[in-house]
Formats: sequence, C-alpha cells, structure tokens
Amino acid sequence: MRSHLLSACIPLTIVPVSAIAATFPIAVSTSTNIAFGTLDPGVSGGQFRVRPDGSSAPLGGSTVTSLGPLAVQPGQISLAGSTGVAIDLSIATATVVLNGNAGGAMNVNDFNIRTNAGGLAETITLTSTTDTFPVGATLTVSAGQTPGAYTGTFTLNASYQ
Amino acid sequence: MTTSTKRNFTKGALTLGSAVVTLTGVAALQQAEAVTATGTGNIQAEIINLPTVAESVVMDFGTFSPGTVPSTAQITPSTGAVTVTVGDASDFGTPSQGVMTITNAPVGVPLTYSATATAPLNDGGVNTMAVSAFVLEDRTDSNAAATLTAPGVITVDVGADLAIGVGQVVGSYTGTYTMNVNY
Repeated sequence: MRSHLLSACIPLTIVPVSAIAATFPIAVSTSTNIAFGTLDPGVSGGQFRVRPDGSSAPLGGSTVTSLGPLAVQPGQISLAGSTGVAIDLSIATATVVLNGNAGGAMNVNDFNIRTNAGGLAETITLTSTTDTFPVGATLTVSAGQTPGAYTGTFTLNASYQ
Repeated sequence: MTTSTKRNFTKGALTLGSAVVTLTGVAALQQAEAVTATGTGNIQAEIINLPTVAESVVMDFGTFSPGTVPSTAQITPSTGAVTVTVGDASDFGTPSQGVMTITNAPVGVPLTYSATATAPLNDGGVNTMAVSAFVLEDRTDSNAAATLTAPGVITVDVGADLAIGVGQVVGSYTGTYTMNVNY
C-alpha cells in the first residue's frame, strides 16, 4: 500500500527536448549595394527597375536609358542566424530618398526581397547559418534630373518568428 | 537544460512522498539572446545627360569637272578647303567642311568622335559618288576626342574624301553621314 501511494504521487513534468531549439543571434547587412548604374533621364524621365533576378529595365512610358559604365545590379542581403528557424526579414520603409552630390534627390521604392514579387518583407528559413538574398527596387528619375552621383540607405530588420 | 527539484517534507507528505521534478529546455535560457537584428543597405545611382549631336554647317565639296582618270577630292576639316589628292578632276565653287556641335556632354568624361557615310551621294537617280575617310577635329585641340572641364558646347569640323568617277554624270549629288559620340 505504501509503495502504491508513492508511485502515484510523484508529479513529473518533462518538456520534450525535441521541441526546444537553440537560437543564435541574428545578423543582417548588405554585402552588395543596390546599383542602378549610369542613367540618362531622357525627355520626360520615368522609372527604372532593378529586379532580384538581376534583370533591369525602364518601366512603361519611361525615357530613362541605362548607359553604363557603372554596373546595374540588385543588392545582396547577408543574413546570419540559426538554421531551420523562421526569420522575418523586412525593409523598414517603403520609400528611400537618394541625394545627389551636386544637388537633387530621387525616390526609390517598390523593394522586392528574394524574388521579383517578394515585396518589403519575406519569411526566410536558413539552411546554413549565413546566406544571401537579392533585393531589387525601382528608381524614379525626373526630367532634367541634376547630373551627379546619388546615394541613399535603407534599414533592414530581421527577427525570429 | 536545467533541473530543479522541490521537496516538501511535511508529516503527511513524508508518508506519501512528494517530489516535483521539472525539466525545462534550452530555449528558456536563450530568451536573453538577441533574436532581432537591424542592418543598413546602400543604394547608388549616377545620372548623366546624354550628349546631343546636331549639324550646324553642311559639308559641301563644291563643284567639279571630272578628269580623265578616277579622282579623289579631299576637304580639310580645319579650313574647309578642297584639294584634289588623286587624279585630275578640277574643283570650283565654294566648298565647306561640315560642322557638328555636341551639347549636354558630361563634364569630366572623355569623349571620342567618329563618322561614317550613311550611303553614297546620289543624284536622285542611279548615279552615285562615294564619300569616305572622314576626319573629325574639335576646335579645342584638333583631335577627335575631348573631355569637358566645365559644361559647354563642343564644335567639331568634319572633312572627308569624295570619289569622282571618269565621266561622272552631271548633276547635283547629296547624301548623309552619321556622327557618333562615344564616352
């Protein structure tokens, strides 16, 4: 009887180890800039898009022409974290302003992470502790845009789900 | 993984023997680790104005009387003068070099120029005369190249060779040429 009572009154809570995963700190940055190259606004200006798949083109009605010699390329986001865990990766603002070294400004928007229709946010599960993902965007150039070199930055956020 | 054991020894409990064992996972320890991150991306673009090229003076070889052998007449870019360099054709009239102007050229970018005939000169019928060996000289340094140090217009004089056949059919011949600006 005593033995029976003892065995019946030992509550034991065990959290399955398989449901617990160690998470390493996340790190996110860009290893390659989004580069729109050298552009001529043309008669009326317009939009010029760089896609994550590496293609680029002026959008409908745009008179913007890509001339070189600067490269046109999507950016590359470097993401580090735990494998097998969903990570929310996003760009903080939908529109970024580029400022010219000789004056003038241009807007960049329509960001796409990883795929051409990826949008501002993607959920990514890493298969290795560090991986890179392309990011594209669209630049708006005005007619008579001031010539010069334009630069700007955007903020990346990453967090475990 | 941590293990905590709680034992309450009361008289009754001692009889029954009560033990609570809780096993918790690593995740509970990782809550203090950074699980969010912020990074900065960079964007760059360069805007330049595409140069435009326009003709300000038509290239004109003047008037010729064909010779007894095939001849070549050459326009000197800087002066517009015509010289018969091959054969014995005779030249008359008031010739002129072509003059092209380049605007909207980017400052600080090396430019080079070239020209080619779009098609032989034609009298409106079947008769033609070939134009070749274009020579381009900008008025800054007489070269077919320039780099602007400040916004401005580049003026380029254009000469070329005209082939005049023996018994070239009389008429007024016209044609066009294309000038390219590369940078």
